[in-house]
Amino acid sequence: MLLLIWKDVKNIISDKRILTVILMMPIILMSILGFSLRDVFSDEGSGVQHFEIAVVKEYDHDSEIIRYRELLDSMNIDLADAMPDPEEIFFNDFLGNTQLLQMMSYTIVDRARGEKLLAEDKISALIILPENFIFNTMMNFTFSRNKVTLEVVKNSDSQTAAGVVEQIMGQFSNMMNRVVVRRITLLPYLMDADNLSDIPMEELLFPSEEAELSLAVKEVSGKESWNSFQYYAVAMMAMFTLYAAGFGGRALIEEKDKFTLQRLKVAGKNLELTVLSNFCRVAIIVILQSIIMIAYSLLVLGVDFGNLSNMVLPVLANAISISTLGMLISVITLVSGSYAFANVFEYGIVNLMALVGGSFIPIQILPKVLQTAHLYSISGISLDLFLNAIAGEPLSAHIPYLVNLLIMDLLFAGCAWIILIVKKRKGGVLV
Amino acid sequence: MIAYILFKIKKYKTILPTTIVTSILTLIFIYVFGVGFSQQYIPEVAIVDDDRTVTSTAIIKQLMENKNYSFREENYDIAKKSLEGKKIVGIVYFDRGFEQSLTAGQCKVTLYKNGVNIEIINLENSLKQYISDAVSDNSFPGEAARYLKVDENTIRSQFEENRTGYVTYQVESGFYEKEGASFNMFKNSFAGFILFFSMFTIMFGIGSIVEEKEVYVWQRQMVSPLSTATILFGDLFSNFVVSMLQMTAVILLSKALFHIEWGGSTLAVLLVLGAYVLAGTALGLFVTCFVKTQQQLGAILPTIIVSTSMIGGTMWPREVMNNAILLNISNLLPQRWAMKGLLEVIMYNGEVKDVVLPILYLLIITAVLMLASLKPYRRVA
Repeated sequence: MLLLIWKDVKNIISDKRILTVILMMPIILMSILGFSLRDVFSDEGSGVQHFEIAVVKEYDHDSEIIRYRELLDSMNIDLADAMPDPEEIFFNDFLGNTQLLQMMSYTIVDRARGEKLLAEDKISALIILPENFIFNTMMNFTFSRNKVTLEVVKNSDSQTAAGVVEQIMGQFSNMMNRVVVRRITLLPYLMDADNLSDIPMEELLFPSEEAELSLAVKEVSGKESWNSFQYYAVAMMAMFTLYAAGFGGRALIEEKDKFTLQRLKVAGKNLELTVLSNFCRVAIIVILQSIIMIAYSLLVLGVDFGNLSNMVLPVLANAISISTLGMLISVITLVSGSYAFANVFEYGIVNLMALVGGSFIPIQILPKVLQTAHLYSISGISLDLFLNAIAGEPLSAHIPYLVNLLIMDLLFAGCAWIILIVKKRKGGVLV
Repeated sequence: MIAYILFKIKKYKTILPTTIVTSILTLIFIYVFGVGFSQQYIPEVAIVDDDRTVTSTAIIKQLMENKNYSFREENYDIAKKSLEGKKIVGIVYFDRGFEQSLTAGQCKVTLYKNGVNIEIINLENSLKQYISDAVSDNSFPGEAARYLKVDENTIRSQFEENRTGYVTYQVESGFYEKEGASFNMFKNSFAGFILFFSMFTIMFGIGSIVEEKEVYVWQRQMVSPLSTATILFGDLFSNFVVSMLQMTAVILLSKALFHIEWGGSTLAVLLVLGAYVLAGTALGLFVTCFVKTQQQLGAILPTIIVSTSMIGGTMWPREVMNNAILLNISNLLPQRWAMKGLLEVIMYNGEVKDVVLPILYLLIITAVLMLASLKPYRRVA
C-alpha cells in the first residue's frame, strides 16, 4: 500500500507542469485576491479607490444673492446677513470635508464639459446644482419652502463610486431637508420673538452632532469574529481544494488508458488498493495546497489566522472529505470509461458547491434555500470549520460540522465501493 | 474545411451528456440569481432598549421609520437567539445610562453582529448617521424652547409633524446616456456568474483537442494536407456553433421557465455572447498549445478561468481593484468586455449599437489569441 502511495506521489512530482499548477494555483489566486481587493477588505477602506467627480453650477451666484436681498428688503425683513451662503455650505462644509476629500476630488465645469468627461470615463459622476439653487436655498433658510432638485449623472463604468456620490448627495439633501423642517417649526415663534438678533439662528437650524457618537460593534457570541479578508482567504481555500477532487477523479482512468492499472493488477495489486492510494494522493495534494495558502496568506497578505494549531483539524477534515469525494469521482469516471463525469464535476459541480458553500458570496445574502444547502456542501462545512478555527472556537464547536463531514465521507466511500462491486460482478472494470 | 467542421461538430455528440449537465447547472445559477434574488430583501434588525428613557424611546421611534431596514423592538434574550440563528442581521443595543451619557457628551450604543456580511457592514456605516440624526433632532425642541422661551412639548409636537411631512430637497440620479436605467446588484452578479460558468463550458469543448493529442489524432492531422490555420479555424468554428447553440438554448429556456428579464435586445445579448464564445474558444486553443494531457488541462483550466474571471470583473466591479497592473491586464481579457457588453443590454436596456465596442474588443482578443496559437501548433507539426 505504501509503495502504491509512493508511486502516486512520484507520479505527481515527475509531472512538473501539474506540480507547478497545483502548488502555484492557490498562490496566484490569493495574490489576485489580496492585491486587487486589499482596500475593500481593510477596515479603513471605503471599498472604492479615490475617484474624480465634476460639479456643474447652473445657478448665477451673485445675481441670485442680490435677488434674495432685494426681496427681503422689500418685505422689511432683516435676516439676509444672518444666513450662511449655500455655496459655502456645499463646497466648503460639505464637499470640503476632509473625509470626503480623501475619497474623491472634484472640479467645477460647465454641463457640456462634464458630459464630455463622463463619456471619456474621466469622472465617476457629475453633480448638477440647478438654476436658482442659491436663491431657493436662501429662501428655504428664511421663510419659504422652494423645491430644489439636485441631479447626479452617473458613469455606468464606475457603478460603485457613482453609487457613493449618489449616497453622499442623499446625505446633503437629508441635511438640507432637516434645516427646512427646523426653520418651518421655528417660523411662527420667530415672528413673535422680541429680538431676533439674540437668537443663534445658524446654531438652531443646522443640525450638529450633539455627542461624540461611539458605536461599539461586538460579536453576539462575545468573541472576536473574523474580518472580510480572513473570510475570503479561507473561502478561497475551501473552493480551490475542491479542484483536487477533480484532479484525483481523472487519475484512475488515465492510469487505465496508459495500462498502468492493468499492470498493477497483473502485479497482484487489487483495484481497491489503487483506489485507496488515489485517495491518499488527493489528501496529500489538499494538505499541501492548504499549507501553501495559509502560509502565503499569513506571510505575504498579512491575514491573521489566530492560533495556527486550530487550523490543523479543519484542514485534515477537509482533506479527508475532498479525497473521499475524489475517490467516488475517480470510480465513476473509471467505470464509465470517459472523462465526462470528472469534467462535469470540475467545470460545473465544484462551482455550484463553492457558490452554495459561500466561497463566492457570503452565505447570509444568498436565498434561503441555498443557505440550507450550505450545510450539505463540503466547501460550506469546511468554510464554517475554518472560520470557527480563526475565531478560536473550542473543539466542541467543531463537532456538528465534523459529524456532517463524516456522514458525507461514509456516503461517498460507500457509493464508490458499491459501484466497484457492481461493476466487478458485471464483468470487471479494466475491460 | 467544411467537411472538417462537420466532422468536429459530429464529434460533439460524445460530450452531449456533459453539455446537457453543464447547461442544467447554468440554468440553476440563473434561477438562483434571477429568481432567488428577485424578491426585495429588507434586512431585519432588532432594537433592545435597556435605557427606557424619553430620549431612547424617541430615537427608537425614528429608527423604526427607516425603510432600508426592518427594525423591531425586542428583549435582549430573544434578539440574541434570533441573531445566533441568523434570522436577523444585528442588534442595536441602547445601554442603561444612554440618555445620561448624551449629557456627558457621549453616546452609549452597541451594535451586536454575528460574523461578517454585507448587510452588517452597510448597517454599521449608516447606523451612526441614523442615530446621530435622531439624537440631534431629539435635542432640537429643547434648545429652541430655551432660546424662544416657549413650551418645549409644543415645539416637539410641531417638529414631529413637520419632520414627516416636508421634502424640499431631493436628488434625481441616472446613468449618463442610459435613460431610465438603474444599477441592480443582482443583475450585475447574474451577468458575472453567467460569464464565469459559461467559460468552463467553452473551455471544456475546446479541451477535446488535448484528448486528440493524447491519442495522436491531432499529430496525424498536423501532417495531413490540411493547413494549421484550417484545423484551428475548424476547431474554433465548431466549438463556436456548439457553444452558441447551448447558450441560446439556455437563454430561451431561462426566459420560458423563469421569465428572466434579459434587458433591451436579445440579438445584442446573443452577439455579445457569440463574441465571448469566440474569444473564450481562442483562449482555450491557446492554452491547449501548452498542455499535453487531460490531467494537465484539468489542473490548469480552473486557475486560468477563475483568475481571469476575478480580474475581468465578473466577481466584483473592476473599479474596486487598486492595482494598476491588474486593471491593465483586465483590459486584455474576454470577461472584461463581455461583462461590459452584457451589462449594457441586461442592466441598461442597450441595443446592438451599444455593444459594438465590447464586441470589437472581443474579436480583437480572438484574432490575437488565434494568431498566437498558430506558431506553437506549427512547431508541433
